[in-house]
Amino acid sequence: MVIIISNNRNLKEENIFECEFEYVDGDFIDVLYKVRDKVQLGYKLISHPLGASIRMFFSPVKSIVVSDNNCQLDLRSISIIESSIEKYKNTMQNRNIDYSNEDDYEKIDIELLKAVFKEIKNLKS
Amino acid sequence: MKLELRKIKISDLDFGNEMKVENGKLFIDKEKIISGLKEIPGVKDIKVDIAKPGEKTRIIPVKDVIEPRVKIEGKGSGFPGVTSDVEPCGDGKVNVLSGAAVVTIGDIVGFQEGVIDMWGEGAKWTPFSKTYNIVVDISVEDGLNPHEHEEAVRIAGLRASEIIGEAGRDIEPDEVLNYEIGTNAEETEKYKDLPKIVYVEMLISQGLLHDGYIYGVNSGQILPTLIHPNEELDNAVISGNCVAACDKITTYQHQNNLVILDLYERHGKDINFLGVVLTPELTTLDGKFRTCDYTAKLCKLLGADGVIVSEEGYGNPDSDLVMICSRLEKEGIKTVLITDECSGRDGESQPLTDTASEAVAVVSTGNVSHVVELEKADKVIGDSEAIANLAGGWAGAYNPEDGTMKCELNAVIGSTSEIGFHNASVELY
Amino acid sequence: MSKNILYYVNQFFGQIGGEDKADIEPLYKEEKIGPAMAFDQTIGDEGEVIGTLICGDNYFNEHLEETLKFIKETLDRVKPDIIVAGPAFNAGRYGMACANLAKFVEENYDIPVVTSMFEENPGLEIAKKAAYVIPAGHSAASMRKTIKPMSELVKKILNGEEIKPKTDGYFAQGKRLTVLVEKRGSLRAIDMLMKRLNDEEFETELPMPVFDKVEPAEPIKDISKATIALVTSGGIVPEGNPDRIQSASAQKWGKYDISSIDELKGEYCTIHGGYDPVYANEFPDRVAPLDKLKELEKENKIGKVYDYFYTTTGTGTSVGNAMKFGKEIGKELKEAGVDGVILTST
Repeated sequence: MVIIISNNRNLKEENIFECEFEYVDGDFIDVLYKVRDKVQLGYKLISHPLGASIRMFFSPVKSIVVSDNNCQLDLRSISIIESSIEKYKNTMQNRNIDYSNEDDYEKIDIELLKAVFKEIKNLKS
Repeated sequence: MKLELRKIKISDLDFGNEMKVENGKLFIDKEKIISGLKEIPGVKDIKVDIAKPGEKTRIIPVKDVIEPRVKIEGKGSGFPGVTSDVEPCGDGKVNVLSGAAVVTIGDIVGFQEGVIDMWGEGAKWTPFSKTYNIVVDISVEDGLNPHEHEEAVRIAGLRASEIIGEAGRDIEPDEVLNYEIGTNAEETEKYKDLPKIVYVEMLISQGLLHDGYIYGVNSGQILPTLIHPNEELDNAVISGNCVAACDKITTYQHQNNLVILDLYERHGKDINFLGVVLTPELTTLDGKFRTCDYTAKLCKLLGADGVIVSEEGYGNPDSDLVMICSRLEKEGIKTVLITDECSGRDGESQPLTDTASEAVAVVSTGNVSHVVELEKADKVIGDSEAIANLAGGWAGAYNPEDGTMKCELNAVIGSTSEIGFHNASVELY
Repeated sequence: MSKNILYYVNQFFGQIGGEDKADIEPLYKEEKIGPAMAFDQTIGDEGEVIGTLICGDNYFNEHLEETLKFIKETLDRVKPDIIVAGPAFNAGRYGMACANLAKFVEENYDIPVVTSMFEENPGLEIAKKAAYVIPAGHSAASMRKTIKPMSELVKKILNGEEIKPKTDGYFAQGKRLTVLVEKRGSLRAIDMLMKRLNDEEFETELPMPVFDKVEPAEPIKDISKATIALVTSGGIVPEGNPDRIQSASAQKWGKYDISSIDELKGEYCTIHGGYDPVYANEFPDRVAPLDKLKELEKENKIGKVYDYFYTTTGTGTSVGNAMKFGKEIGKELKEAGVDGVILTST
């Protein structure tokens, strides 16, 4: 079982994925913080917290997939989420979050999640 | 495999009543392109414009750049598996309108950037300010979903390059370049003493607007795979990546991948170029581990002594890049990485999102946060709202008095190309 | 036209006195004193030292605000084109003074600063970001050898010439600047690979960060018999801060007898400049948990709490100084037979 941690309002209204959903009322960085909390409690990162291009750093919307709590600290997940938070802050230091295109970022966020779930299917079935 | 790239040098561009090349001047029959592309499902409207080097013209937001060509001998016309039937690429003769480029524009989502300035400061930072550009602006019918929209735009660009490429079918080339590499057994027999080199080309493979295709197969669906360098030079690999303006590999850059061409230049002289491994950059961590293991294994199986790895994008793919490097170095394979970096506006931040002590040899193709100042354009081809995207990134980016605007390299097409297609680098001060 | 150079030196090179004069307040003289004189002779017609700013090393570091205020007044009055400081060689406090001067000027003025120090000087970390720092020898014996490259660099800056760390011999400031170069990336990659394959020297364009990894010590065999010491970089000091430990960029550490108390509360407070002190001042054991350690001692869960508590401030403290403090404190603890340390940060 996996959980989506997300501030995507569309997903809050309707979670089209067959899994748990936890809404974060906040920005991209708040989603990262929430994932950090989860990881510290024993959840494992499934999808990488950062996007694949600098443009996706400017997105106000982010969804990250973590595994169910297996009550065991995953050191790799801890190090990835910590460095992602640091990198996110560095990258955004002089930039504004691109709120004006929030609707489109929400759409793309869901499309990228679909790719994550396709990969998950390939990994364990 | 043997591929003959027959270069017809294009040194001028204009509209005309028919598509043709005369003394190096390419004439564009607008109507032919428009009617040809309107046959593509979902395409509603097409506008065609041209931009020449030196003109005070800005093109934005750029989706893809494609080189117009026509295959005059051998299997596989166009882009096999995408715009034409599946056939193997890499053998035969291709007439290339060298110096010309199809540039596609059109909104898929609102936050896209990707600027080409044909003059001034902006021109210095993109390789596509030096090409004669046929700009195709594609709008689609209402009600398409984003995937259908992206596909229509992508196919339209490829088709446009084929329609224009036909103009070169019967033209005598200015230069004929031969690319031939035999089987690994043959080449290794011929060049026993030369170091064996593999090129690993990473492709963003993460979903809509973040895809690449190999013979029409979405690269997110594959394990890392080996191809002959000629296949990539002959249209087997195309871009479906529309967000990483500065460091995406456009279709043009696949067709003219300079790591491949520069390795070819050395083949048989001081290296034995074994081939290209295409590696998807996936989104899940487990997926990344699997592809990185697999990539290193392929290089090892091939018997590589040295490997060049190029990245596409910035952010989570940095992890793939350094993981591939660690695995190769641990196998005793000497590795050089090509990547861009985000070291912040002041250049003082940590350049990559992930690091590995094994990554001792890295070529940096520039800082994506580096700020350049663009002058006011006389003519804008494309969308002024996309310019607002560029200018609205931070306070003070746009000067309404003189129309100049500050823009980070991340918005400039090909500026920090991680296949080393351009001349940007980073120096420590 | 000859440009105006302001020169900075400490009390010793300012010919006021040695360690006994390290507390003197900043002063400005319209003369060329010590290294300022030597520097002026090498610079020729291109610039002239118009005066020398002198300050005691201790005073500078312990009265940063007052010193910077004096520097500001001096700069606003004499309006130099460039500032030259040092060389500070391996003198830590002098190096920190040069660094803090450079940092202040960089943040508030558009005046370049050139200084010089030894590569291990704790001031280098801050100085190299704010100034052009020429490497100096360990001691003043290398004065002449250092002054020359300093003045060459100053000449170039005054003439508006382009300078680079590699060609002009100063420590890189750590700024990664994007440039267009002659050779495209693909060719640079192949060149680099060929050098590697031929076992020739090559230079990466993106050095990976080097992390200082410390191997964890063996676990304590019997914690109920172990002596445990409490150490913090959280700036917890006795009320009144008797040793005047800096609230940021610490130059020293302190050591206090805690054998007769059960908690820090009431007698200690924080002087740390990097966090909101309210909760730490209310109950300093929140930062350095002496109360809990003493409880464990009473319950015989640990053998003994070591009699002395060690403290400094972590914020802005240079890696060089932090390493020095760590070695000094570690040596004392080891000699005292301490088995384990609780080290808290903030």
